[in-house]
Amino acid sequence: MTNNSTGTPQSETNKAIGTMSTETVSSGQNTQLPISEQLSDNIEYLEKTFAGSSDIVFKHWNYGPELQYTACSVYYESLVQEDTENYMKITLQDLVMHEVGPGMEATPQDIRGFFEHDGVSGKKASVITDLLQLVDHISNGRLIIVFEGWNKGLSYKAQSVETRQVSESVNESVVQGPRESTVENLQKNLGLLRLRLKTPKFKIEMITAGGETKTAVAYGYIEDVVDKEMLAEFKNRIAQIADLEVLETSYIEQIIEDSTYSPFPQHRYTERTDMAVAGMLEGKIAVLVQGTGGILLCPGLFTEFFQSSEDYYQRTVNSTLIRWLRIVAFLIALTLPSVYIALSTFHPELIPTVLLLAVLNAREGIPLPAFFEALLMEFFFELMREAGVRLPRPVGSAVSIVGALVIGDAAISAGIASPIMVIVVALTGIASFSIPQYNIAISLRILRFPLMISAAVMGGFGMMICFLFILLHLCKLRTLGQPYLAPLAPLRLSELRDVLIRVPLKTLLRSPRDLHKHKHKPVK
Amino acid sequence: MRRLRISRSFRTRCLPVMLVTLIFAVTGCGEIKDINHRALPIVMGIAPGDEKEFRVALQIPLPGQQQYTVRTVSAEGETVSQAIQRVQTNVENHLDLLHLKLIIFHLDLIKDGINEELEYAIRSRQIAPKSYIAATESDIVKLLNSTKERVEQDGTTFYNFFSQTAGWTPDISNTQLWEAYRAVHSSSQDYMAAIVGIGDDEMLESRGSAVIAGGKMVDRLDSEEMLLVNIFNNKFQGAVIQVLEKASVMVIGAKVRNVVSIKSGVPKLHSKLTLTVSIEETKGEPSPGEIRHQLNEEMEGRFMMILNRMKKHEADLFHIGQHFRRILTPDEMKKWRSEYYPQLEASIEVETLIRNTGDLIDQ
Amino acid sequence: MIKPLSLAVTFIYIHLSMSFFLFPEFLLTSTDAGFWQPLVINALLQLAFLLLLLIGLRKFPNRDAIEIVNPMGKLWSLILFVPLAIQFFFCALIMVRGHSELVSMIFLPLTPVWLITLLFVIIALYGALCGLKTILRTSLVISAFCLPIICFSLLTTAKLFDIDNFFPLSDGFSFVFNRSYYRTFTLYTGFLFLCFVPTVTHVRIRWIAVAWGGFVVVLLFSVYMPVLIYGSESAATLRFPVIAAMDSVELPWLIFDRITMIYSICTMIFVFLYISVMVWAVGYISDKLAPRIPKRMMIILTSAALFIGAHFVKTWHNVEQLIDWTQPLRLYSMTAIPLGIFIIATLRKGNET
Repeated sequence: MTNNSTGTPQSETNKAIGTMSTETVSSGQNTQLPISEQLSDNIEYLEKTFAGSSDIVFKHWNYGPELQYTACSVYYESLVQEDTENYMKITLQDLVMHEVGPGMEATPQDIRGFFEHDGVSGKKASVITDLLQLVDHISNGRLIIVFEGWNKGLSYKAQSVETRQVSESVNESVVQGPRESTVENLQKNLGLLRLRLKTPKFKIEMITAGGETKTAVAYGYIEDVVDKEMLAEFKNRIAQIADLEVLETSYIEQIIEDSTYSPFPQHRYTERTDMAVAGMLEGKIAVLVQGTGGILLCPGLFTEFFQSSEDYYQRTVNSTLIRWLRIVAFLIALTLPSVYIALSTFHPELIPTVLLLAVLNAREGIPLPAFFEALLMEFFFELMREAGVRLPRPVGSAVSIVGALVIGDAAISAGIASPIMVIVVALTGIASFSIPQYNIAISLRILRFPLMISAAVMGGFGMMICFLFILLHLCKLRTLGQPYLAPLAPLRLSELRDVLIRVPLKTLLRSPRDLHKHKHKPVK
Repeated sequence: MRRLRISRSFRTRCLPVMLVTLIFAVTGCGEIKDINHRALPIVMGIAPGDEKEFRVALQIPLPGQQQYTVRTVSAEGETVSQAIQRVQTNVENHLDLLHLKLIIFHLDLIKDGINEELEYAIRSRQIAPKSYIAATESDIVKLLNSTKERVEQDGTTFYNFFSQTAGWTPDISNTQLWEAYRAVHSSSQDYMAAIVGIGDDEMLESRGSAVIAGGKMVDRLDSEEMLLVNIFNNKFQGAVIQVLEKASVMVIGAKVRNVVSIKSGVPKLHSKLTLTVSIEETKGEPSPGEIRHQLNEEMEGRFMMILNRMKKHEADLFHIGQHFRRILTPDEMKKWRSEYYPQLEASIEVETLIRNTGDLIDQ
Repeated sequence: MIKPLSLAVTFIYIHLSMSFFLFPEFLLTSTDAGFWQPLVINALLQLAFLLLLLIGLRKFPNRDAIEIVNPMGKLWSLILFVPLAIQFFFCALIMVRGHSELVSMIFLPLTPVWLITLLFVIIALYGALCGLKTILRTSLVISAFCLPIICFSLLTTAKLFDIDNFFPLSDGFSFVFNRSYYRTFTLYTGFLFLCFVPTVTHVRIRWIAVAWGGFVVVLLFSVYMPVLIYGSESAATLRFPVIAAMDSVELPWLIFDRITMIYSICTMIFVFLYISVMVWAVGYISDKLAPRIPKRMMIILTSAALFIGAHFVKTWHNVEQLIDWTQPLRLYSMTAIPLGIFIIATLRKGNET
């Protein structure tokens, strides 16, 4: 008996290049329960397994001369919604057309012979030998038919559930460029990626998560471009999900990341297929999960968080200047409140005299010291930001007006905050929105507060110490074995083409795409 | 959902971080002084006191509701820092001399010598060495008080008076604190401090300048003489109107070239001053040659006059000793003022170039 | 291009970190004129020993100094490297205490000094625990930020230069008798950390020599800058000549009124990294000579000792005394270790062939 736990067509996928039809339905268990030749045993087992669910359907059929042979199809009604295809009929029709003569005179032997020898059937069917696998197939939305007298079952792909259409990305929009974003269906997403990377070197490997969800996880890479050691390391780490329940791509990120407590994200996250493809062309590994549209690009280096796909759809000079703008925005978002606190509390000599007199006036009568005022306004702003995410759309504009009024005008008139503080906080917020990747904007929000505290305690000196800590941490951080601050430190000039400036596309595209082989430490 | 378990390594890492943060938060907060609790005076006046050695007056802008107000506070003390400390006692904000832009000394004080006050100013890190110094004959408290309204309108009025980017002209000397301090120890660089007083519109008015050598005032110059000294010391910026009997010219540029030598212990200096002017206004119809000749003579005469006066006082106002540094040894340089300078034989040649004659053609 | 640049930059800032604050004062008080003389002489001496050291190390690539010396006998290692470890410790102590005092004077007069010292020690500890590679990378990133600011601040003072103050050119060799002159040697012993670098990264002599040249130029500039502005006599009286000189420049077009604060902060960062390197070096030496003590433990112990030691150095005068007392150790390290390594390496190479 073949011990093919993944089913025959799956092995075909492994051999063939670039097909995308089957889903992985491997069970993680080692025990096997062969299908018996007695239909009633099989049905009894299946009924016991699926007891309690009301959307499971057992349909019994009789076929053959004088309808003497029995079969049964089992499926989830919620997954196989359309009843237009009658798979039993298709099975028999195939036999009629190909093997047996006119008349409904199929016998189990015919069926057995036909399918065991891979006869050409109208709809693609898998042959299953194991009962546990049968259960898995049903859970995955397939329709199975078991026959009396045959110790194998047939499994048809019959899933049709309503899913979201491919649409424009909500969180990452561009002015110029493709707007296609991923949906929740893994196969559709993989299809979108395959349409952009028409090369057999684009490999997609599947694994299944564990627990009760048994989510299908796929990761793709381009064979000659990706770093072999990094890929091995990645495979090592992602094998851990075999025991865990994975619901979203970010679960994978949190499982495989190098440093759990670092405020800096170590992988990039996108919903756009063009960004994912661009990442893979640079040697990244793209991870997708069934049931969610997010694509994880591993590893994510610090400088890449400042790149957006639109950079490549604009011309060199525009992109370079916008990139500098982003870097300045990053610095502003990180340090502006702390700089204000440090200057006004510790180093008034740095402020020009004329501005100083204006600041003096502005701060007169404010009850809180600069640090607490800054903290309060930042807190308000963070509250507003969180509320804005959860708002139902009709209420949105009203709340934003209220927020602006509360934070801006009313606070100033009530004497809680000075106008300069409001400007500082608003500028910080705007700057943090201009950074393309959301997860590093969050890390900015986190890091702003220690910087503010250190500025409040020790002024410029404290800020410098905090910076030094952050920098030392950044330099030590590794992501999937690669240094996080590459190519800035260690300095790799050839890779700097795309960091501070964006070299003209002609240069960027023509150069060979092999990555530097850098040494990395084995992860403990 | 997995049960939350804080791993041991997390705890051991967290604890020192928390401890350190606590330590900082508790002990490190001694420095915090909010900006509206600071008083940042812009002008300071130092004069001999009635009862004690010094009287110090500070003009402090204090924050108000709509607009800041300016207050003049003064106190006396045996030393300048003690006087400032007394002022601090009477002011409700913390006094910070960080934004001090101008220090005005009373002439009586300068006559006695201000080297120690200058050393105090440099020793205290708060006063920036680039603040200006000036002198005055009037009472400093009155001086600061009467300019109160003007300063309330524009806080940096005093500073603008001396600043090269604002209202300064080369016939006022705008000596900075560091130049004054330099002269304390230097063997060949003396300076002059502008003498100011209150003008008609309650703002500063220039009344010549005091030449200070060895910390003490030795002579007094008027505005024309100051112009020449400024030109020699490369403090020439932009245009100045120079009035002659026959015409008024605008000096656009000035360049000095010095040739120095020592012959048998007598230092010799030959300077060549090249003035580039443009004609502003004429009286009568002087020819360009006449204008040039007149200007050259005036400049040369003035220079020799000032130099001779300075030689008598042993004040190296033109920084001539600097040119001799290449020739003399360090030991000889130390004796520059006493031995070599009084014997200096100097000659000057002034050449004027009339670059253009303004918008009118000269017939 | 990769690693040599970060090593060269580290080399530069290890020397410059000292030269910003303590060095000009010592040099300016050591002689009346002709400051370039002691500077150039010292620098050439350092270059000679530096090259000796590097050539010695090059004979055994990828081996650091201790591994080269050990096969000749443990005794030689002890003679050479234990004083070196002690010297590194005292260097770090002087820097920590000196700069805490500085920070207290310039930035934070009211904060207790022990807190500032604690901060220095903690960052040094963290940096040393992260390892030399991290420190090298950090130095590169920081230099990208700070060196432009420092160069800019230094160059703005050019407005006030009076070239005549450069002369007289020489004052003879009277500086040899002045104690301050010997204190300037604290600057030149920084290169010894290169002994332990070959295991971490490849050392390229050309890059280090260029870095040396760059550092000497900046040093000359930072010493002569106050002299050209204030004159040598007045400049010698200032505690922080560079800062005073920078404060004298007026820049109406710049946003900030006084940029000395920014300059001081930028240079202070280098001091932190320098102390980290010293602590790391001590840990490394102890790891090689006494492998039973775990390296992390040694680094933590060293940092604790630094903190406690800083407590005993109470005044600025004590700092200067400490520099004088460690002078013989310093001269010994600077001369004996490169010589020793060079000779031992040559002997071993001779034995092998």
